[in-house]
Amino acid sequence: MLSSVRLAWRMQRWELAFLIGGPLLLAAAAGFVAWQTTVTLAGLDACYADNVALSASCRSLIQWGNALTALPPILEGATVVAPFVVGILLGAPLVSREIEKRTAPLAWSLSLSRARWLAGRTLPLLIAIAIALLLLGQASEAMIRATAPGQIGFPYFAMHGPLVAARAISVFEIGVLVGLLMGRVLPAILVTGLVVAALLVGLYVMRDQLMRAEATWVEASTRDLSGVMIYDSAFTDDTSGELITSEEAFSRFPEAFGIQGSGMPPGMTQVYLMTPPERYPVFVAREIGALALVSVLVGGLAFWVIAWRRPDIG
Amino acid sequence: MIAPLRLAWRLQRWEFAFVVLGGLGLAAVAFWQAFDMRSMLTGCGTSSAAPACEFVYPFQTTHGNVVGLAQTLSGLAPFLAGLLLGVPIVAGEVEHRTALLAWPLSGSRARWLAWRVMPVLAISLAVMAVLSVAADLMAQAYLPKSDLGFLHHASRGLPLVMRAVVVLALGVALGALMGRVLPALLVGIALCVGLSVGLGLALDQWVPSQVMTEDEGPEGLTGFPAVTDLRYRMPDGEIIGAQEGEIIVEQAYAAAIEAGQDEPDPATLPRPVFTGISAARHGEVVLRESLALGALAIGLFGLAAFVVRRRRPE
Repeated sequence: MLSSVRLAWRMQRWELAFLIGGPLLLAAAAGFVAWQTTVTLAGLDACYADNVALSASCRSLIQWGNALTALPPILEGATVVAPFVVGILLGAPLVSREIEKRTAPLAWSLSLSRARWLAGRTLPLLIAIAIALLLLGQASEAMIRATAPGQIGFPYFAMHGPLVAARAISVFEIGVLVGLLMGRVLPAILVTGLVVAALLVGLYVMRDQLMRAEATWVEASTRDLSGVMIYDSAFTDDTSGELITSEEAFSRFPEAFGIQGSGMPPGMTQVYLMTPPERYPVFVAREIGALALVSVLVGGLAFWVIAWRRPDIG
Repeated sequence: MIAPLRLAWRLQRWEFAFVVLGGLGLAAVAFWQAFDMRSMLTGCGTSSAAPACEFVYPFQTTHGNVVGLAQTLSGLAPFLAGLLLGVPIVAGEVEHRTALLAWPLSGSRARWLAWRVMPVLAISLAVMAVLSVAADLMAQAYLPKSDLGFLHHASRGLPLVMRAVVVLALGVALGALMGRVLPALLVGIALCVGLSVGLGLALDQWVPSQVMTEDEGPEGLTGFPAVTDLRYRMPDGEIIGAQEGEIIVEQAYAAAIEAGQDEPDPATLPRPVFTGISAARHGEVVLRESLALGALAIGLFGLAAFVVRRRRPE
């Protein structure tokens, strides 16, 4: 195992430094923001607890807090993108480079079996990706918890937690298979990108359909709306329980929606068609399950392909 | 020209196919959207007028998603095309050790580089020019009643083409400096992020900002200027800060609603004073930015030629 790790480092030091170091740096930045946000908010609470004019240190604390608020959106965006960049750029060139540079004929014939060779090349990278992206997912979660009030739910989907690592591993496996099939680095990167984009769209459509199917009508005022995915809003008649659409309510009670109106028709209760954040872990688990299945299938296919593929055709 | 074009196709057929098909495909979508939106407006003023005729932003609900996606991809296209086509030109030859043979066989290394770069530059320019025209037509068709000015500045027109040229030159120079495709690609991606952010920040610096008239400002809804500062002018002529002005406007609206009026008397409200570059001066900005980017591209091509002349081919 140690020799595999050493070999991986020797052959891909640039890529590893950039693509494993990058997520680790992002994780460190997210952890720093989480820590500093907590400390700054506690300091600000203390500043506002005294009913006197703000001191110079409190004013600088406010400025620091304002500066910190710019970072979470950037880091959240980077956390969403990182699994794809890491998976594609580490996975696609892994075998395709050996074929393109014509080192595969020697390497494959020298190793005891091609499957063992492939396992030796992929395993150290898989472990490195899993560790780096799990750390990134956890650091991002700590940052979101520190900066966003309320529950973490659907608005932060795939920006935190183990899903970040699961996506990276699946993309990496797809990259390895595409690289093995194509035998050229740059085309393999391009095709992996397209395949992953298709997978992502498929997962999004499936998740959206499931979320809509499992959404329920809930009284708007009874719950905290943070982390909730709302699909529609309507009103229910308090006496009959009949559901009427917003458009119907606007036409039946125009005075309630005028500039001086309360926005609430008399004898009605506003309801939302929503998927509550309690369902969020289920959707994350489902997507991780689907990605694990893709990883196993694609990984198995890669082992099958390498057993019969010629090592010298680009 | 045919011989180097054929050689470029043989060496980079996947990258060419991706850039040409992707770029022209995206341009086709943009042309189709522009044609579709324009044809919907032809019946305006007649009994068969489309609902779009009634709105300031007529196509938000019908075409918004496709137009938004196409504009995002158009913004990414010059960076993707430039890196994919530029990086492997020298790095691929050095990495595959074919430079050892190709460089001594050609009359001079600079001529070899020119022969390799010219067809790639020509193809890239042609595809990006078509895409830039299509993106421009689509953006104008989406907002038929507006002077687009700085809206989507980087993803349409000449700025899109110039970005592609600069990134191509950057890719060639990086490939020559690093001599390996994937590391050069990674560094290129990082530099492209920096370039994009830098150009965005520099956008309102190419020509001096001026105080704009109310029609030139963003509230006119007819143009999209680059706003650098917002202040408010009180009815007595005093100029106050943006935050202070917004508080006064909010308080005036709250007082009017409390008094049973729909809105406060406009004569009593502070008026916004926008400083920046009006949409009408966008052409001037494009010209200056394009000249600067052209000079940068020449410098980067020069750097690539210098490195190719001096570096070891293996």
